[in-house]
Amino acid sequence: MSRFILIIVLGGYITYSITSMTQNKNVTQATENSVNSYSQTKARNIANSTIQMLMSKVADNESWRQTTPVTMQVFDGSAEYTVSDANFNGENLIKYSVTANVYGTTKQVTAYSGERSLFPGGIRGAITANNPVDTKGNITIDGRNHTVDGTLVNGSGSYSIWGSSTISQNGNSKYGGTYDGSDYAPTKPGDPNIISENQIWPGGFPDSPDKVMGGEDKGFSEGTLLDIANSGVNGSQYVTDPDDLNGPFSGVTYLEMSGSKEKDRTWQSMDITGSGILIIHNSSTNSIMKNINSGTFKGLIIVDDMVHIHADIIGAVVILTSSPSSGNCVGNGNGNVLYSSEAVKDAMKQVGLQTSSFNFGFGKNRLNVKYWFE
Amino acid sequence: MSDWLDVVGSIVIGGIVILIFANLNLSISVSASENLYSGIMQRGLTSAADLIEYDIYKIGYRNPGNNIEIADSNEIKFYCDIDNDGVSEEIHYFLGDAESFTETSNPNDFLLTREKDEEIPAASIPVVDFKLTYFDSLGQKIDYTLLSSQSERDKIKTLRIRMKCESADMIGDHYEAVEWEKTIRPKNI
Repeated sequence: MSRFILIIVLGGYITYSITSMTQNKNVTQATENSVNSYSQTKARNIANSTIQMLMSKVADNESWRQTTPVTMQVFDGSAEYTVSDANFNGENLIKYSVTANVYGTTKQVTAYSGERSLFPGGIRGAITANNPVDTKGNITIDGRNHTVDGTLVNGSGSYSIWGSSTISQNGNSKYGGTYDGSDYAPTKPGDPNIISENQIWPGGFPDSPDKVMGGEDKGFSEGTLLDIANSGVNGSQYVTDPDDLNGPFSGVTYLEMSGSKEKDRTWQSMDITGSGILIIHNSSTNSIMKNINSGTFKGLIIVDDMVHIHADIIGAVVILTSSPSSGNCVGNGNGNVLYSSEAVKDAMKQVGLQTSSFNFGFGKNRLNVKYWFE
Repeated sequence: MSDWLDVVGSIVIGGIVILIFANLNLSISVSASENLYSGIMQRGLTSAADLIEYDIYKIGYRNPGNNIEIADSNEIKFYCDIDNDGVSEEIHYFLGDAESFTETSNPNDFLLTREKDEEIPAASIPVVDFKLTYFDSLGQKIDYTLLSSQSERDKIKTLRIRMKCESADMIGDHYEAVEWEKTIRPKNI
């Protein structure tokens, strides 16, 4: 009897041992599944967070790149990253490539952002116009890049004039600009490389200031600039009568004139001293800025119709109307339009556009993120 | 007399010991089966979840047109360049019905099918529950009835996926079950 019980007990013990080992194996497998899943999620989070940090860094310094791989510790893992220029999907973009490693689990994430995020998409040259452009007198339109003080910056400028119709260079007017990294000093006639006429704007020329800034895709839904002007931030102002404007201008200066008579829609013989974003616009795109006689404006001017620049503009001008009022003549005197990306960016910084509309990294987008492959 | 008492006592005690071990063996056996099936299902669910995650995270990636064509509680069709070759693909997840799925003895399961560019099927996953919930940029749930219009589908910024699988065969008196739920914010929409 005792031998029988011993056999039963030993048999039971062996059965229990085998079953227990099998169970342990299953539990181990289940634990591995959980750990793997956790590691994958964590690796993904590390990769995505690293890209956001890199984008934030690029937004702070647009020229920053990291073409050789660098490894940094993030949370409980590591991330190896590069930031480089790349042509992707036919666009020149900034590529962010990150490989995260957590507990031996790796995850690669690649993202692409636009290059000139802080720059309004509607600027194609020193003057961007939706109408025939005629210049007379001694006006100089220089698309070469300048600092906000008017000092030349080599090889990084734009067209002198970009137009959706004809461009006529008359009198002693001079055109300069940058094409393919080469600067062309202002001359008459201007080099054909820096004059871009009869162009077609994909999807139609912007018909509002917000669309000039890039529209909804860039965080400028209709009314954004108007709201900023109304907010008064950094000297911003919105008026419907030019007599109510307070100079020198700063922030977003928004003049909206209306009326059936042209004189009611015309701001004439003004001093444009100031900086920021100057907007002269109404919903019919027929308000006029005429005889800009004195002062220096640093920043971006968006205007329905511009006639006779006799002052200095450092930054860029965008003219919206396709039916100019005074023979297409933007200048017949001694004015200067000097393209300046710095002045335009400064204008945007003045009203916090670079932070409110573009900030990436942890909440708000400063960069125009185009693709994200994870 | 005492010898008889010893024999009877031994038989009773031996019987109790045998019953205890038999019961223990039975319990261990059932528990082992549950663990085995649970492990198998967990592995299956993890693989399925990986696939779904891989797809959903890419909604809208390098896709020039509308990103989501169908958005329902148990069906979604969307477009993305899933293999990063510059060509957008159509990915379609949809459920079959329990009656038509007779491969298992579980009456509650049905097939969750994944099609890529209408190639049938790119993957099939037996599930007992699969539910998709959609949220806008403010994190507010979008009603399914609204999602018949493209403009409403364009508002989708976040998806929550819930999936439940059960074992193909009954373990004891029940089917072993595992569940997975995840909220995903695809970055290209």
